[in-house]
Amino acid sequence: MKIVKMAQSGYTKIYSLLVSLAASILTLTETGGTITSSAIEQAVYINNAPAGVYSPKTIMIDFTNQTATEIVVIREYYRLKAATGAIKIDEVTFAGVQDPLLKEISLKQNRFGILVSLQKTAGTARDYNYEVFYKV
Amino acid sequence: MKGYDNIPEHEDILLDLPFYEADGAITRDQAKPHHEDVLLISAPTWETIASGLGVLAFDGTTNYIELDNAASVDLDFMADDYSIGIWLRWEDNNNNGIVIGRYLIDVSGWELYFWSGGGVIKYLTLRHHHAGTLVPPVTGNPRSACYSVGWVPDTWCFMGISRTGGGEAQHYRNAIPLTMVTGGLVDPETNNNDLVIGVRTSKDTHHYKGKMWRPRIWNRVLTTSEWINIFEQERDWFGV
Repeated sequence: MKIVKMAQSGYTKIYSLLVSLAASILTLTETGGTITSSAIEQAVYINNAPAGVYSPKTIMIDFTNQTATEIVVIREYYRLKAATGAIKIDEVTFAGVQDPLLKEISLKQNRFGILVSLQKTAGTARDYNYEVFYKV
Repeated sequence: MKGYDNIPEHEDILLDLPFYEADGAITRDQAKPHHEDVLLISAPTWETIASGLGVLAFDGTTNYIELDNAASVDLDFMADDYSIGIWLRWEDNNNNGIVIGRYLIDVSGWELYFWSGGGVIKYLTLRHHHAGTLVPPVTGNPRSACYSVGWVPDTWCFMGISRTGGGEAQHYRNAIPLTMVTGGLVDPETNNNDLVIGVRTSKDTHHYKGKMWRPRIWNRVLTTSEWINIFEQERDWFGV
């Protein structure tokens, strides 16, 4: 009986260890969708309060629908300290028809938050498809 | 490297809302269908719990989440298998607190709700709605349902529902299968209402009160071991 109990205890520990190891491996995850541009700065992708160290990889935005009359600004922000504002690290303006149509932004690991935004400063509201990859 | 799609528990997952945004009035689906415009109505509160995890808090009077019918037709379950998993910290306001549903009362669809009626026993009910009255075993009723009891308000728990198409449903609390009471769960009729989280289908009453994290829906029956795997990987966030 004692041997059985010891074996059960061992299995429980191994199971617990495996679960802990599995939980500690960051998982490559993806999300995406479509955002319709407007004169208001909108979040294309945001993780405003990660529970731990967060590792976004890349965001791709499709400019296929943008015409010669549109101007769009993409901004990238990070928060370096809890409960403080997100700080802009980069801003790029895309005017008119783009070539290539697909824009890619490499994202940085962070602890307290990330935001990628899109704002139309001229022209008509258009749909922009986007896809984000991150590890969590 | 491990990818989201390679994790066994993510097989056939239709909706996965991790609430990473922690800001704003929209939340994004990280499951493959990428349901768009999952909208936070009347501003449920973004909160960070002690572990650092971001959750949503619903006030029980106006807050809820909605996803347009046209964008959620894949959640129109009839004879389908389906499973629902959500971390909940429910507050008992003696009301029908709708957790999630896509339904029209006494016509079509499915809903999941808490009920206590002020009593000691706290019920969680999965209810299907039907056009017209049904044949036995639920004769004369345009609804069929099953429920579990023992749900404790003001405590984080991981709620799981596994429903086998054409058959019954199994409820799980913290990955433990619960004793079910059923009047005979019948496949619901096809539905074209919005998906609602935290409110009745009419969006004007039966608001859910409490906190919530990561609603997930699959179009298959999750097994007990899969509920255990998910629970074990996430329980530390909630101290359970």
